[in-house]
Amino acid sequence: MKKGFLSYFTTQLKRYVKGLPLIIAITVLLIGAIGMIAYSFMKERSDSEEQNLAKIGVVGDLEGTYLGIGISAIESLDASQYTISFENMTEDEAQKALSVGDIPVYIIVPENFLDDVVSGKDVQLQMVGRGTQGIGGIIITELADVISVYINSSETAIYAMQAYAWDKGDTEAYRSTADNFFLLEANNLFARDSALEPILIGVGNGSTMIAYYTCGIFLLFAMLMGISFCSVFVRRKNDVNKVLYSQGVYSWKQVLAEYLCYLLAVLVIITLIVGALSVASSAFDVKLALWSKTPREVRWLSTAQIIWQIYVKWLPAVGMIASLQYMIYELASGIVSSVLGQFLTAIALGYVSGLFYPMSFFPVPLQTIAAASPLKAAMDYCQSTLRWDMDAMHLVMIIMYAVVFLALSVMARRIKLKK
Amino acid sequence: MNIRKWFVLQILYFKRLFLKKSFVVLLCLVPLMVLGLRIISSEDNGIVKILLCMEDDRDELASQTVDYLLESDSVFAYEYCEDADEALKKLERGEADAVWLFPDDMLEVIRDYAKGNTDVTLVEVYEVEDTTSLKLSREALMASFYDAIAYEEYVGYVVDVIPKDAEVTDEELRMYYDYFKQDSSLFEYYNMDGTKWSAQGGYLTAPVRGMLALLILLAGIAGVMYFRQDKESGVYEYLPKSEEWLYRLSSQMISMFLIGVVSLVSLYLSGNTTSLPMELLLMAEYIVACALFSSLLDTVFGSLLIMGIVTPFIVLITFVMCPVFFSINGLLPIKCVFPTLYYLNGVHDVNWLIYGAIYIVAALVINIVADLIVNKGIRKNG
Repeated sequence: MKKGFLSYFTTQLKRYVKGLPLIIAITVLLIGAIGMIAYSFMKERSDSEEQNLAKIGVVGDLEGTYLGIGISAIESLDASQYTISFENMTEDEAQKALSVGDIPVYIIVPENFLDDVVSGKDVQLQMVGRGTQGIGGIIITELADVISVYINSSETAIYAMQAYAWDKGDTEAYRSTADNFFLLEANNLFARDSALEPILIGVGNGSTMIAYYTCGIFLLFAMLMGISFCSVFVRRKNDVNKVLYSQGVYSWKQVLAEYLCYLLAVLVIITLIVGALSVASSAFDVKLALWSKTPREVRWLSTAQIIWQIYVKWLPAVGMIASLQYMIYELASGIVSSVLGQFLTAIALGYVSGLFYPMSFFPVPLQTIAAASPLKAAMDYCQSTLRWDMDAMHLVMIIMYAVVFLALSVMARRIKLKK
Repeated sequence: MNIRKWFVLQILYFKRLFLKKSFVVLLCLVPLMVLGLRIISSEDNGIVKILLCMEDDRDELASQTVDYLLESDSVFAYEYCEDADEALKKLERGEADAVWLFPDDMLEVIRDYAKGNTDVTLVEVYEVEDTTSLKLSREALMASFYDAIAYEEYVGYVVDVIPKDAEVTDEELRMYYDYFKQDSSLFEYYNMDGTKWSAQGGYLTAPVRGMLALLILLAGIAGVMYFRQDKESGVYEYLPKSEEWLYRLSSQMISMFLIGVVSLVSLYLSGNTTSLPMELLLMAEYIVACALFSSLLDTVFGSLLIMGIVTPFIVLITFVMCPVFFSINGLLPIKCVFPTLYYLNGVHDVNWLIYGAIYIVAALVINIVADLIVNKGIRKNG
């Protein structure tokens, strides 16, 4: 019985080993190509004077309007966090720049804008974009609403002050002090960052954003890796499995042997990728920022720590994902269903499990549903390892999910064999 | 090409797809998942969760600001918390992203600030980590009471600086201010095609179009792999080599067509759609573009194993290069290789429909040339 399992395992392993050199060669080539594109992109940006700047086009004349106050206020934000600049352009230039994605939006200032504002008319500026485009577009509209409040309130105060002084006939006093009032308003607006300066408390349960996205990208990639081995899975022959079953290689043995071989192959690919990441991190001095255990402060991971903290500790999560992928291959029939099933599972589970957006983005009902997601357990577990307090509860959950997926795979195989 | 033979093959392919239960389940699952997301996204949610606390809930301005924030239609999720200590504990537990503590004499603090004393703390802000979203949230906080600051600046200036003979009354000052006050937003949002820009369906359903576009692209790649698998099993042995790519193209378009129909239905369920003719045109162009793209991948890589390995990378690169979740500036020559870019940009910009048509012509020419080269190579090698 034991011999049957081992010989089946060896046969399966040979199937993977046969294709593995090619898989490794192509993976290395692809990682190299993506790395080169990413490196040249980052280098081009760091060499540029306008690094990481999102430009917003302005069509029309801003001179003499108080729009400049709101715009300067936004530009005055910490450049390392917010990177927005405004650039005057013609409408044709703005349309072209928007069309090719050089600018996310542009603003059209009408010719008689200033006169209309002074005469108390309710005038509006046109902001032209390409749909909300997800979170980016929504942030732009939120920012525009903030600018709108700054400009509207500043203008209202200035025009009210001017009208008051004019009506009281003290035009000289108004003329001599108007600039000072304008300066007071501008100074107060620019000082808002210090007036609302946050008190930062490094806490145990939260991750740094970079640590969060490292987990998210890693798990998404591990999920998509399932597609890579579709050619191996779709070539399985049910008739051969039936013969093996009659010879004592039962469905659970077949599943276990196939799963272990698949897991080994996935681990080879993951090792390559983590290896490439480690080499890149030391070559280009890219480091990962995490919360340290004590004291609560941000610390940076070295290459060796990346391997220990990510590669070794995340293996249970990789194992669980491999079991989920294996189950999908077992349930789906044919290459189209298998590939689409793998992708749909990766994208849908990834989305609700907070791989793309943090869980706080989602409404409570979705967070409740996501709590039962295996990828959410994997995400929580991986994040906990990066916070230096490995979460045993999530580790147990991951192992349980893996067992359930393999049990379901055995059931599916049994049904297939009895057909 | 024998049209009858071609037609019979397509019908058989269609039937084979529908004989697979998992494929039918998948077709039904997509719209159901999108509908679920649409229902859930109507619930209150935000990109960061902020707890609002007051030192004294009898303070009028603080209460007004808190009420305004709680009622505002914002990308941030606000929640009122009576106890500041409890709010800070929630922040520590990771149950919130920030705590804003409003002072007990907010009007006095604002008057002080309006006079130019910018060293005061307007609202105490506690955060775990200062992220871009939280910086933006602080801008929204400032905007929530900026009108009060501007009014106090104006009042202070009129009372202290402008000389006057008579006493100034609060009503008079308020009258002048209210005359110029604008309540509506300074900006009106438009798309390039002149339609109104609105956050239809919220940000949770905004990436649905991008995700469905990736599914269609993958259906094209999977379709070509299916054809390759059949070919390796000898199903298409009788087909002339020169016509093979046409059969491959049409059969892969069947799976893409089915996924395309399901995607269109899902898009309507998500609420992120333009006009029906535009959607149909975009979808038809995208399916043809994806079919040519995946057909070219098959010609270049020529093996089921390699296609399998390359696919996750293609999906990941498309994620980054095309505006599925976010869009990056630059790298336009690389972005243009991926058909998803034309589809997603074409939704509100007709120019990209034209670029998409040019892409199709170029991809068709490259497909023909690539096929000629590969077939010539095969003939040479016997």
